[in-house]
Amino acid sequence: MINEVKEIPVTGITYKDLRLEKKPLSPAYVPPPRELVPSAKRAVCIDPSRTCMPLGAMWATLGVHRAIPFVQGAQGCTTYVRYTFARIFREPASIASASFHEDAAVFGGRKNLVRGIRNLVCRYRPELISVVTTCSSEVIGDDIQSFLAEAQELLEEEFGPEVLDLTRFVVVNTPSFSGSHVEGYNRAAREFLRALARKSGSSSERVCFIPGFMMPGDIRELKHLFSLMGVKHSVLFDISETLDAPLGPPQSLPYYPRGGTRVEEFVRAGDAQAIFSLSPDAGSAGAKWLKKRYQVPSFVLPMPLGVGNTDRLVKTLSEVTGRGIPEEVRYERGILLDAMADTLHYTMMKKVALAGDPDFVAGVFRFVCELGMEPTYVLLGTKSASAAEEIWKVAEEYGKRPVVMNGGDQFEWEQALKEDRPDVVLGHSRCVNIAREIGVPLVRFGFPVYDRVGYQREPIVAYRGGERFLARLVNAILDHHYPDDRTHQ
Amino acid sequence: MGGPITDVIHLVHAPVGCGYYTWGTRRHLGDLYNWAAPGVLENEAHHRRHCYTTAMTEQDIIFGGVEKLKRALLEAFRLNPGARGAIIYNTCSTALIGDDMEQVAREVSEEVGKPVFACASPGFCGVSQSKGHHEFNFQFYKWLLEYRETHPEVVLPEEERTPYDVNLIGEYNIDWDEVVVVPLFERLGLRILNVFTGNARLSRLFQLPDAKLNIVHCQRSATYIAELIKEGFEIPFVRVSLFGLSQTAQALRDTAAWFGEEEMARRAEEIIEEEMAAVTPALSWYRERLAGKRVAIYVGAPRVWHWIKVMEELGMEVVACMTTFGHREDYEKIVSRVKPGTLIIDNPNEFEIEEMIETTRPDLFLTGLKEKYLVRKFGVPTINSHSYEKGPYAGFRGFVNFARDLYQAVCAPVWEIIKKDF
Repeated sequence: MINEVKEIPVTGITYKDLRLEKKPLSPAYVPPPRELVPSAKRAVCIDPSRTCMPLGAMWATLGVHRAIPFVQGAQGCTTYVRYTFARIFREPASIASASFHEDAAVFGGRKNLVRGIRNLVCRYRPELISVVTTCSSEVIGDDIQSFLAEAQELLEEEFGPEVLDLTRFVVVNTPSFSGSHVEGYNRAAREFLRALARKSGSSSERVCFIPGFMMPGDIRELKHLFSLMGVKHSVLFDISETLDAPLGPPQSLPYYPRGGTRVEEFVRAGDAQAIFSLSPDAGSAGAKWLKKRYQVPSFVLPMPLGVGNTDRLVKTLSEVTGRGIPEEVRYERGILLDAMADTLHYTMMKKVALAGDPDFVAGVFRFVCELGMEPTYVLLGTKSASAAEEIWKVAEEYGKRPVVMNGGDQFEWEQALKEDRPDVVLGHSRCVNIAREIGVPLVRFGFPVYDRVGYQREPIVAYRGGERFLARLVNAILDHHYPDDRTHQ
Repeated sequence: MGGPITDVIHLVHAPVGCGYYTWGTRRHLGDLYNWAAPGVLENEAHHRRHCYTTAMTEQDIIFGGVEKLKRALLEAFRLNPGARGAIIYNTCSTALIGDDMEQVAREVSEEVGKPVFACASPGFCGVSQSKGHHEFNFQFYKWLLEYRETHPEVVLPEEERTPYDVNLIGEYNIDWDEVVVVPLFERLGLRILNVFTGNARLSRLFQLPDAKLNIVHCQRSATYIAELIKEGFEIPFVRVSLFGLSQTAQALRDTAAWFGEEEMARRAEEIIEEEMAAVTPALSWYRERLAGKRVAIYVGAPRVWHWIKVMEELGMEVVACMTTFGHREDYEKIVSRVKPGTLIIDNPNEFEIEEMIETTRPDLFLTGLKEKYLVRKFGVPTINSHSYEKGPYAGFRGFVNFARDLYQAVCAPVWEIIKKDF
């Protein structure tokens, strides 16, 4: 023997042992009744591509330095969101719960909020607490503002008036029956700015950005782009260093990651040179409010996915700040274009189905058109007039005729895909089953992606992110559609 | 607890999120599948392949959701003709507005001729999910009795019963634990009528009271139903733990002893001997590397006291115990099993977990998904002890998987690398 490999002890039950025989539930396939396929014609929602509103508000809060969401509801409203974050980011996420029990349901959640906030301030000393409401507290009709005033009074009594300087409060009303997680983020964007932003009179050169549900890698990529352009920037709700932190012992207890947007940055947003919402459905309410209140020029742009969308961001930014477009940015753009030219034989005329949050899907829709792909069925998990409008505009520009399922569920989208199979699916992790069943590759993007390692760090936005995303897309096509080609020359 | 039942539609009557979070959360599922297309079985087992919800909107909350629920359930049955029944769950909002789910269940059940169980499960009920387990036991049992009375055909006919019919209660088939556990009992000569509720069929669950003995594994979430069956049908139960060598061996011996047959007792010893011989070489390899390591445990409830012994079998020392929803009796068992001086915390928050890590400095922390990433930041390896890393962990052979994951966690080079300066 040339190499003596160390003997590895036997495994008890191997993964292969778990490949059990599948037992069919019924003797044969029965196609669903036609009239029940469109989600609009059904009372039952099957496989929603959206989740609850409080998640959006919690996501936004976790992008703020030393901030903790306080969820006014039962424990599950916190637990399941924390599970979701743990899956997506593989990072800790501290979220407090009012822990509603029967007495709260009967007498209201006053005691829960007052005592909960007291404990949270006293133990965690957060710089900001967002009070996030839930279905139950909204149905009961909790008067959050008066509860909060009482909590603050108690804090002052117990710890002295200085304690009130320690922690800022923002209330975000998020009854899940009125909208999805996308709307939850949107409301948080508005409420944070409404509660915190001020105008001091001295104008600033800073530009604010609201990223929406972008991943840490995306936000880093945006910051890189802004730095190349010499734009002084504040990314509001910046999860890039809160939900992606290095391994190493925390400097002090309790654990807080070093990153996150500082409260001060929200305060100074009133003086900003401009504010950009890069995710129209998740964040534009904040940008619009800032314009209305402090006349800060606000821009709501499609998510910078692909060439055209990124061009729009770069050009608008250049006009607003009066800075030219530097050579480095043109260079990165050129690399993306180079990659598109080198892969066009794999992307052109390929049928692609899209699913996810409206901002992601609308952004990617333009990108796939730029790649010469044929978008077929487009599912917007959360209903959005603006995303649908953007998609139709782009479709007309490129002469495409997609079917847009605005606010539909994945069941109706799936049925369409089964009848008219695309060559590739672009969607989130909940699209795995359908992609496998129809035997086409799934390229993951958007919310939520939890079954890939490193997705959260690999950008898909801006020119460089676009090039990475394109590479992932093309490699999936290579593996699946041309498995026997060893050269790809 | 309803979730692992494989042959029914699970419909969550609530705004969209409550259903969404019950979907796509388990690694391994049941063995029962629906058709995705002609000749193609669905990729994921039937019971978690799709998520059914009424996705209540503001209008529904204001005007009530009963009609929507009924329509939704009828549609779900039409879209899923193979389903053997349905379980509908309400949550905070639909409970607060007072939607009468039971009435809907009765009406739809009559209309489609299949059983429908309405499970009241508003999140604000009780201190934790423990109340949900409790409620499911009681509500399900009550409904089951009524259904057996009105539908005598679901009862196991006398001539089909055997003296060796047993139920496995409180076994949820986490990461296919059943692959390990069920054959152990079958080799004793028993027939497992039902597992409550791992990979269960609703059609079979009606026969829960037709067994001779109940074997209870999770003694927090499911002893209730074993006690109810004992009261109602005079069917006794034995408590077992199926984690680790000595406890699994004890479980087989106790079960055999209940039947009081020498032949079965002999078979139990044979199984134990054979299984021990199969796993001992691997386990001694792991024990050598794990001995002396300090471990903290934070899981549901019974697993904490089940696992104290398991860790000791690998030569590890338990330095702290915590549970999410342990009751008084769980803590009594924990206290009776740990060494004096062990830290015990009830339902800790994250800050308390951090303080526990600082004060006890364990080499390993057995915990859930939400806490595992926090504790890793402190340089302490963690294992997802709710749904496992790469299970199954139960029984003799599962214990090898468990030991392997413990070894991988504790002995990964990264924990040494982060200690070094650079």
